[in-house]
Amino acid sequence: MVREKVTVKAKSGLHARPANLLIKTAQKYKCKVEIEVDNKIFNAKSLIGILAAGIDCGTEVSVICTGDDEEAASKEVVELITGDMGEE
Amino acid sequence: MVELIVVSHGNFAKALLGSAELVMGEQENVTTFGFHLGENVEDLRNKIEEKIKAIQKESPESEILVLTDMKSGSPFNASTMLMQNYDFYQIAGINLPIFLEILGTREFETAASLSDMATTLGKETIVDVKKLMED
Repeated sequence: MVREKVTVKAKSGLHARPANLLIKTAQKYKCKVEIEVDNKIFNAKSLIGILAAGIDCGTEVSVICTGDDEEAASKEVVELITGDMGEE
Repeated sequence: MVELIVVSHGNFAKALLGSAELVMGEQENVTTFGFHLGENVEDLRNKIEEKIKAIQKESPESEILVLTDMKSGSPFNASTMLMQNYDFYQIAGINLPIFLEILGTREFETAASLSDMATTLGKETIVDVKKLMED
C-alpha cells in the first residue's frame, strides 16, 4: 500500500470536471485508489464517491493506492491533485 | 463500452445528458429519445428498435443498456416490449447520480454490473436531508 498526504490545489476543489478527471486517471490503474479525508475513505474510481467526499480547494487528503501498480497510480494521482486540474 | 439509450417522458432524457455533459464533458455512444404529446407508444418503440438494430449492426460486440425514467411509464413500456425480441438491459428510474456513475464506469464494466450498481446507488443517492442533518 502507498499512502501520500497532499493538499488539493484545484480552485473549485474535487467537484464536477476535476472529479471526473480524477476518476478517469484512477481508472487507468488496476490497483484500488482511494482518497481519505477527515478519517473517511472514498473510492477514487467512482464519480459519486468523489463528489460525496465534498473536497474543497486547500483540503488536505491522503491518496491511498493498493495493488500491483500502486506506485505508478499514486505518482500520477498525486501529481494531478497537486496541480490545477485544468481549472486555471 | 456499453452503449446507452435514454428514454423519457418529454425532454428529460435530453436534459439529463446535457447535465451530465456539464460535469463529464461530451459523451459518445449515448442516444436520447423523448415521448411527447401526440406521439404513441408504438412510434417510440419503433425509434428505440431502430437504434438497437443500428447498434447491433455497427458494433455487434457492444452491450446495450436502456435507461428509462419511470417504471410502468410509456418509455418503460416501449422498451420492455422490445426486451422480448432483443438482448439488452434496462434500468427504470434513472437519475443524475446514477447516470453519472454509469457514464464514468461503462468503459470497463459490463451492462449487468452497471445494472446492479444502479439499483444499489439508487437507494444511496436519494436522501432526506433534514434527517441527515439531525443525525
